[in-house]
Amino acid sequence: MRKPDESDGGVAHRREQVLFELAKRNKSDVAETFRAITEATAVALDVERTSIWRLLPDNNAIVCEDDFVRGDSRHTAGDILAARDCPGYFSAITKSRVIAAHDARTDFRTRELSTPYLEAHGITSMMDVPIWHKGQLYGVLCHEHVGPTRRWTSDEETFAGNLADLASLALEESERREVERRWNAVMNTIQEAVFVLDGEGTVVQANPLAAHMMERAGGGTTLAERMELVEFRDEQGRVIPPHRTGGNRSLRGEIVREINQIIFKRTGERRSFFISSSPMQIGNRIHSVVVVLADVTEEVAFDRLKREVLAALAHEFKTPVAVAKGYAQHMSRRSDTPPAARPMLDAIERAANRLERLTDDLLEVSSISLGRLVLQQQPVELTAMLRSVVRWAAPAATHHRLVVNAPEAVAVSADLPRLEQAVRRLVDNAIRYSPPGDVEINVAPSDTHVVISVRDRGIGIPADQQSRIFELFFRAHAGTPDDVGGLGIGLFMAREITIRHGGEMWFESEEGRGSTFYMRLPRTEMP
Amino acid sequence: MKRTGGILVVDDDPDLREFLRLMITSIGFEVISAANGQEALDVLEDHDPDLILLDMKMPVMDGWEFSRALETRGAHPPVVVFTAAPDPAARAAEVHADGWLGKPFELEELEATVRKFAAHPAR
Repeated sequence: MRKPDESDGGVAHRREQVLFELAKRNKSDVAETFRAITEATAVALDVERTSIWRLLPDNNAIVCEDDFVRGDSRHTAGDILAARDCPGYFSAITKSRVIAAHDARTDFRTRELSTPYLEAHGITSMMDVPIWHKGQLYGVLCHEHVGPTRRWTSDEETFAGNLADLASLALEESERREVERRWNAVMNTIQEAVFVLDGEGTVVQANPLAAHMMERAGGGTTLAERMELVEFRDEQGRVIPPHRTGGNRSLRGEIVREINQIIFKRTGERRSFFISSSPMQIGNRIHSVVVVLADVTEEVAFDRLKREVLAALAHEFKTPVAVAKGYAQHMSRRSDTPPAARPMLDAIERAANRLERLTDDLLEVSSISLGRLVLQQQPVELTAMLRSVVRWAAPAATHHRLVVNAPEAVAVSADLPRLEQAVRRLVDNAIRYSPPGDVEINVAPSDTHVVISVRDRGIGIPADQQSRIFELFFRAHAGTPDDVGGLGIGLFMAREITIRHGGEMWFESEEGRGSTFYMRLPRTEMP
Repeated sequence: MKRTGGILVVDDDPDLREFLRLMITSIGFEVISAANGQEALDVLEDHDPDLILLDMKMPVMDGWEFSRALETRGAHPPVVVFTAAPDPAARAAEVHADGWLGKPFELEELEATVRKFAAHPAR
């Protein structure tokens, strides 16, 4: 109801003032903002009751979040209005910008509310504005007038609409704060140092662990400062020039995952970190870079120790095996060796071969890093890699012919030693589990992928064993006359390596006819 | 005047040294043995072999140290590393060797390696 002494200009000005005050307040506490909105609108629009209702998730009721009664200056909450009692009203709030019911008791959108609600409170006119949040109806802001019916003006409708928008802003802001709070809790809890760098490489955000690291280094917010205070080295201890560090490569768009040593020049402290860094782009521009550092100093040290122990063990093992195998071979080839001794010498040679294979398996297990298997991927041309595999396999392939069918100039993105290790395993198995003959290595490229296959015409894998063939420590021929020894890790490793390259491995096998193992890898440009 | 020719076998395992001596002499080559890098360097003072068969892990002076010492001497006989490492080729590349032989090896491999390098004129 408009007071006679007030000009339109005065009212408009006051409403503008209300909107301004609400707009600039901190809206992170939704309940508080809702109370401010209901109070402000009750006064500004001169209505008796104002309220904000929330639609329940299944859309079958609205529940009152805040109800302000101007007469007794009191806020209440908790009333519920079920959709089944007033379907017309529920339908109207999902479809309208504003429901201005000049006579709420007869208006088709609000008359269902009459008996239980309007009459109880003496309400005659209503103006309800739906509140939308993230494209969904959140609820409704209600203005309920008591006394003679009232015609809502279009200015009043606009004003109420603006308040509903402010309510949805409050919802957004509180949600953003909540996400921020959760995010901060994560950042403060995790055992990794997280840095956010801007497009120039300056640290613009750091979690507590990262901040502590910077403190240890002696500062270094900008890229230039940082490079003065710390030095990056690769796993082999070679200095990484500033433009090749993970963060800097990500500033140029690369996603980097690798282990680096970081030397704090001020104190001389040296620690190993697993570094993951990735660029964040807005359009084509790299807006910032996130760098995550996990301290793996102990893991790296343990890993090195383990490798050294196993290498020493392998050496100590293989030397006596070489002597036993060598003499056995030599004796069985001499013409003066008695025929009865030959099977014994052959048995010594077989035993030596098994020990050799076991040692190789041990070494291979040791190559599975305790922490993470970090791949150093780069374009690998396949014919050169396969030549190396064939050369490696040649000593064991005295009775086999290795046939390579590979087109030139086909490359995959791979960690060369790992990929070679995987292919070697397939070739090694093909030789060991097939009678003298051909072992075929084929390379079949498509536009996006390359399939490397290794085919033998050997003993094959029994059908009932096939589903377990890639399991760790599973050996299909254990305890059979075809058993050539080993730990049962070769195919597991080969598949693991393939998967980590973003590829897949499968096989076809028929008992007595042979097996073909396939390795499918994403193709890349030639180096 | 240095004695030329023959194969210098450097390995700390006496049984393996003896085995290699037997095998290599049986195909007609002379063998000089050394138990570690230091002994091998001493041998090279008055011998100029066709080939050095070099074990890597040895006491006193290992294969890496020996290879570095060899490189500082300038021209030297070809070296084939003899290693139990899972990647012998990488090991060979590390010390700029001319070839490698995995441990254990097949007799044919040993023979082929010796013939390949011993056929070279002495450097």
